[in-house]
This record gives sequence, structure tokens and C-alpha cells, in this order.
Amino acid sequence: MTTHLRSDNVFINAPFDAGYRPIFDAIVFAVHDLGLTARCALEQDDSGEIRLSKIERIIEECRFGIHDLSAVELDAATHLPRFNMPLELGLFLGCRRFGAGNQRKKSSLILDREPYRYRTFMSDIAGQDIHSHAGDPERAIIETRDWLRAASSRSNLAGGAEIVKHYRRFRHDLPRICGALGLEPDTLTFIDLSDMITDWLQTSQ
Amino acid sequence: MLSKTLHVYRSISGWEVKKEGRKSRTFGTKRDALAMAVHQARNSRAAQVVVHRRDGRVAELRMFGMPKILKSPRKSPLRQRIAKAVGKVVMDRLRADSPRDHAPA
Repeated sequence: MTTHLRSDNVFINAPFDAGYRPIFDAIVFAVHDLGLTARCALEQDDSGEIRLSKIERIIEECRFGIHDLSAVELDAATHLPRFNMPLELGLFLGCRRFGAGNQRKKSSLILDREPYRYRTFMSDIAGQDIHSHAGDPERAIIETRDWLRAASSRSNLAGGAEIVKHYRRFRHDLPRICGALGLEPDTLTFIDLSDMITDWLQTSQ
Repeated sequence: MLSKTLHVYRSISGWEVKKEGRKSRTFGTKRDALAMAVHQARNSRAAQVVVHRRDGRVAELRMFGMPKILKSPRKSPLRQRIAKAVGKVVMDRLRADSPRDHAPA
């Protein structure tokens, strides 16, 4: 793995189900507002490609990774934890450690809903960039912005408070945009959400 | 919050240059309107100039001191309809800001 890394691609490794959508949507918005591209395992729903192969390919292409471990908890029905997010985090860290060439430039932000909760289920990740969003989408935006500002060394980026204001305005407009398309804001596919965000940012900042 | 976007669009009076929350300026030609918008953008710390089609979609976009907004490498099957829906919401906002300037859509 040496040639496919894109310095403006950000892998979003986060739960996509209803309870976590506010955080997911906010992170995707912040990434696009910073002039970067959000990528996610859900960007191709119709592919016959094996899911893990698809995730590996996207990880290979992304210089940055944002990993939200909030969903690592016991499922109410199965009483088993969900481990897709830690698995994809492990792939990303492994790619940086063992990959060749520019794969070693990869950089990760790890988010959770409580500070230090990771110590009870994944203590070996201590020493990485680990921050808490406390389940607050606006805090997730600010954590994402501050980390990407430092990790990307870009200088002309909007501040966290400004991105939060953009996001509030986007959420205000979203029901009307979705209404014109016969869609529901809370059930948008990742690609549709991503297109709405970028089109909105091009006209509404 | 001060808007960073200068909109250039057609109205019943000609071509408008407008920032949301501010009065628009009218020009006889698109060329003159765009030149004024670009001039204002160049004198700002960060700005973008958006030329709209009649339906609100983006015909042209120029960035000044701002990061370019990048599209996802995967295209939505609704891409054109999304662009139109977003454009309509934006144009509705502009019309609500200064209704006398605008012809019906």
C-alpha cells in the first residue's frame, strides 16, 4: 500500500444508527466545512464488494481517521458488545504502523462519549489522540475542527464556533431541502447527506 | 454572523450582487455584476462568489482565502435534484431578504 493515500480524505468510523446520527452528521459536516472530504464504509450501498475489502480500500485512501467509540457497549437484545468501530480503528492504526510510504502519514482522532471510558475496554490505545464529545454534536464539531487544524497544518480554516453556526443554519434548512426531495432528514443515506452538505456550503457560508 | 458568500443572480431589474442580510446592488450585465462581486471578495479576508442559474443551482463558484469545498468521490443518484433543492432554498432566502428585486421563479 503506497500510492493511493489522499491528503484531503477523512475516514469516518462511527455508528450510523438513529441514536448516534446527530454526532455522525455533525462530524461529516465539520469535515466538509474544513475543505476536506468525508469517507465512510456506507458510501457504496450497492456494491458486490465484500464489506471488509471496501473498508480496507477506503482506509487506504484516507490520510485522516475519526473513530467514534461511543457505540462500544452491550447491546440490549444480544448482551454482546459492538466491535466494528474498534476493528476499523485497529485496521487504520495497523495501516499506519505497517503500511509503506505515505501510509505512515496517517493520523487518527479517537472520540468517545465519556473521557477515559476507553480504559475499561481498550486500555492499549492510551497515548493516542482521545477526546470526549459527551454526546453533544456541537462539541464533536469543535473536537473535529481543532484536531484537523493541528493534524493537517492548514491555516485558513474556519474556527469551531463558526462551523457550529454554519451547522445550525444547515440543520434549519435541511427539512426544506429534504421536503423538496421527498426524503426525511434523519434517514438520509451517507452519500445524499454528503451531497447536501457540500452543495449547501458552496452557497450558504 | 457575517456571511462570506456573495451571490450573483438574475432579477427583474438586471443582475444582482448580494450578501445575505444586506441590500443587493443591481447591474445591467452579468459581467459587471460578477466583476463587482469578485472585487468585493478580493478585498475581504475570506469570501466566495456564487453565480446562480435561474433555478438557484450553482453555475460558477470562486473562492478567495477559503478552502475549496470538496465533493465526495461517490455520486448520489439524486445529485442533480439535491443541487436544485439546495439552490431553491438559497434563492428563497435571498428573495425573502429583498422581495422587490425578484421575478417569480
